[in-house]
Amino acid sequence: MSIVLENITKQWPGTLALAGVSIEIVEGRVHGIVGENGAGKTTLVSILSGAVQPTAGTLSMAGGPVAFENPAAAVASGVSLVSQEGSLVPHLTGAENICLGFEPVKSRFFINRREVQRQAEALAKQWFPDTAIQLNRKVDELAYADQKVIEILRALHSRPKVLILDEPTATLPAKEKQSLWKLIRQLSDAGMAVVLISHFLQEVIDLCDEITVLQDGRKVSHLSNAGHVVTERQLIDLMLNRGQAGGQDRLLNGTQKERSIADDAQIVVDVRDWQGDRFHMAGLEVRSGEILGLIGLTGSGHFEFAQSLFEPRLAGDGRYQFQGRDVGRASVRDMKRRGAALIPDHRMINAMIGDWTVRENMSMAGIQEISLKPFGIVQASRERSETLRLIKRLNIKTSSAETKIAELSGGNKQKVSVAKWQFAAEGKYKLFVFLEPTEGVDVGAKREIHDLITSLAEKGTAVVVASSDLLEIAHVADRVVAFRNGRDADQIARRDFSEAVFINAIAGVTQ
Amino acid sequence: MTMTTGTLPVRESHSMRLGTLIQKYSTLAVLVALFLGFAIGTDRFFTGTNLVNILQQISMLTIVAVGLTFGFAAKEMDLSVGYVVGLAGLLAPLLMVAGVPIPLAILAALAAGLAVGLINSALVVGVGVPSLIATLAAGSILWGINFMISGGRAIYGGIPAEYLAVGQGKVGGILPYPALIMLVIVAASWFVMERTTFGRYLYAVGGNARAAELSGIKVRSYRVYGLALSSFFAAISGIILSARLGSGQPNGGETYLLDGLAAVFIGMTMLRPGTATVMGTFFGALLIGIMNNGLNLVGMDTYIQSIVKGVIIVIAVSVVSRTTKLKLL
Repeated sequence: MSIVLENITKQWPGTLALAGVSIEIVEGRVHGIVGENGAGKTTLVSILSGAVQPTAGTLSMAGGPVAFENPAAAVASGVSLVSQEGSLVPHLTGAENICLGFEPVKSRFFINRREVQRQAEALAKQWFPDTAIQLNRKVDELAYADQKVIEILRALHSRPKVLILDEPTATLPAKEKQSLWKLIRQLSDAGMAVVLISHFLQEVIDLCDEITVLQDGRKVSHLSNAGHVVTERQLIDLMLNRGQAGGQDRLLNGTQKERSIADDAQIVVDVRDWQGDRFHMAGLEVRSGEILGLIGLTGSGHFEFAQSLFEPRLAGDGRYQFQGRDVGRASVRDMKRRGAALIPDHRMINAMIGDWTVRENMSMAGIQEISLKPFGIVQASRERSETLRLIKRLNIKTSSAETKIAELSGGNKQKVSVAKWQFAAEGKYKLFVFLEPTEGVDVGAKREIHDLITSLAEKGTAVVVASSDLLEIAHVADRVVAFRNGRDADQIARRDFSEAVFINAIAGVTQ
Repeated sequence: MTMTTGTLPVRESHSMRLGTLIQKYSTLAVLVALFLGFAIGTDRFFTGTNLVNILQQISMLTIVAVGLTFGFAAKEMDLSVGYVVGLAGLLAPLLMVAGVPIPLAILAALAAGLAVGLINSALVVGVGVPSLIATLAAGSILWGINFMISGGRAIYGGIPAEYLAVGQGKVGGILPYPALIMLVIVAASWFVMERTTFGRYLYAVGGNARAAELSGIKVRSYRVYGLALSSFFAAISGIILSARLGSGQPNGGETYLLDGLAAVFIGMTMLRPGTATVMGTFFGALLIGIMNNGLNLVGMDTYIQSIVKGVIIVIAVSVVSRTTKLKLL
C-alpha cells in the first residue's frame, strides 16, 4: 500500500518549514529524501509519523484521506518510524524491546517470556531469515548495527505498510553500515514501502529506487534512480541550487563589491594543523577587517572548527595563535577576555535564557563592565540605557527591554544574540565567530544580520561565518574555505565566487 | 530546524502569560487571606507581641530557606541543610563548654557549615553526582556525626550568657535578635541576588548552563557557590537555634529541611514564577510562619498542621510545574 502526500505545508511562527510538498511513497520501493539542514526533512518525517500536523495539504492511503493526530494514530494506520536517536531500553533484551508495550501475558498478569522470545524470533525470521540476531541479550551489549536492526524489528512488530528510517546509519561505524543496507533492501524486496532520510548521499544513491530533494521547505526535484544512475554531484547541485534552473548563477546577483583588506592588517587568528575529533585544519589566517566564510556539507567539520576558535578545548591538537599569542587549552572565559566572541547556532539552547528578558539576555556577557567594583553592583540605569541603545542600533523589534526573550521572533532573538557581544564592549572583541547566523530567521531580518556582520568587519573586527546557506556566505564573505570530510579542502577568493565553484569545492569534484 | 530555535506556538505563550498573572498574585492572596482570617478569627493573633513572635518563630527557617534559594538559583538542591543546622547548633555549644571563646566557637561552627557545602559541591561539580543524591547522602552522614559528637545527648550547662543572648535577647526590648539577623540576611541576600553580577551569574547558570558558559561565566564555580552558601546559611541558623534553645540538640534542625523547601517552592510561585527568589522565599517562610502560628492559636494539633503543610507544598509545586519547565533533577 502506498501513501500519498499532497501539497503538504507546515507553517511555524516566523518560518515556513514545508511549502506545498507532494510525495508518493510506493510499496516495494525505497524512497530517499535528501536536503541540507533546514530543508524540511525533519518536519516531513514528523508529519508522516503523526508527531506534527500539517498546516495545509492532505495525506492519503489506499485512495482514502487519512489524518494522523498523534504517533499512535500513524502506527495504527500502518506507518512506523525508526527514529534517529535510539529508542531502545538498554537493559532489556532485544526480544523484550521488540515486544515492548505489546507483551504477551499469561494468567492475565505475568509477562510470558517464552512467548516474547518466540514472537521476536518469528518476526526476525519473517523479515531477515538469513541474518543471525541475538535477541536474548541485553541490547546495550550489542553492536550498534544490531541495535538498529532491533529498532527496525520493533517498528515492524506493529505490522506497518510504510516504514520511515530517519538517519539509520548516522551512529554506525562504516563496517556495520553495509550489513544494515542489505537488510533495508530486503525490506523493500518483501514489499515494504520504505522512506530513507540520510545525509550520506552515496548511501541514498545505492539504496533508493527514487529520490526526493528538498530545499528550504520546497521539493526541488524527484528523481527516478532505476539502475542507481543518479550521481552525488547531481544531488548536491539540487540540494544547494534553487530548482534545476541550471545555467544562471545566483550568487553574484546583487552582492556588494570586493572589499580590500590592508596587507598590514593585524592577523587575529592563526592556526596550523589545528584538529579535533571531527575536523583538521591544515592552516589558516584571518586578519582584522576580514570576513571568512566556511562552507561544507553537514558533518564535514566546518562548524566544529569554527566553534573551536572560541572553545579551543574542542580541539585536541595543533597550534592556534590569537592576536599573536598561543591559545593552548584556553577556556571560553579566557578567549572572551582575549577578545573572541561567539554567536552560536541553536540560539535558544546555546545563547539565550528563555525566561529572561531582552535586557537580561543582552547584558549577560558584558554586565561586569557596567558594574561597580569590587562587589559587582549592577548600575541598573546604565544597564537599561545600554540595552535601549542596542535595541535601537540593531533595530530589534520588541515591545520593551523587559519583554521575555521567548516572545521575540527568530530574527530579533538572533539580533539580541549579537548585541550581547556589543553590550558595553566598544572595540573589545577582535573576533566574531558566527554559526548559522540566520537559522530560522525571516528574509528581512536576514538582510539586517548580514549588514551587521559586514559592519563589524568594517570596524576592524575579524569575522568567521560558518553557514549551510551558500548565498549567505557569497553575500558576506571576503574569502571562503570549503571543508570536505573534516578537512579544509579549498580556498576560494571573492573574485572567484560562483555557485559552481562552491558546489565543486564542497563535493570535491574538479572541473 | 525551527523546532530547535524554540519558537513557541503563539497560543501557548499567550495562555502562559495569563497563568503567570494568576500565579503571581494568588500566593500573595492566600497570604493575605490567612492573615485576615486569623486576625478576625482569634483575638490573640493580631497583637504586637504575636506579630513580633511570628518574626521570631520564622527567623531560623527563613535563614535556611534563603540559603536554599542560592542553591536553587543555580539549579542545585541541598537536602543536607537540616543536619547542617544540627551540626552547627551542636558544635558551637560543645566548643564553648570545652572552654573555647565565643567568637571562635561561632567561627568554627560556621566553618563546619561551609566545609559541608564545599564537600557537597566537590561531589556535585567535581564528581558529577546529582545534588539531590549527593546531599541526601551527606545528610545521612551528618545525622550520624551529630549523634556521635553529642553522644546522643543535648549539650547544655556552661554555655556563656552572651551566646544565649544571640537567640534570646531583644533590640530595645522589642525586636528579638534572631528576627533582626533574619531581616538583615534577607535584605543583604536580596541585594546580592537582584543587584549584583554575582546574583545575575548564579541565575544564569541555573537558567541555561550552556548559554552561561558560552557567555564566559564560570559555571562550575557558581554551582559551588550555590551549594556552599546554602550550607553556610544553615550553619548560621544552627547557631541561632542553639542560642535560643540554650542547648545543642543532636536532632535539632531536622524540620528545617522540609519547611525550608516548602518556603522556596511557595516563593517560586510568585514574583518570577519558576525561579527561586529571595523575596519569594521570604514570603513563603512568612506564609508558613503565619499558618503555624495561627493554627496553634486556634488550637489545632501539630499533626494536622503537618498535613496542611504537606498539602500546601503539593499545591505550590503543582502550580509551578504546570506553568514552567521546572526541573529539579
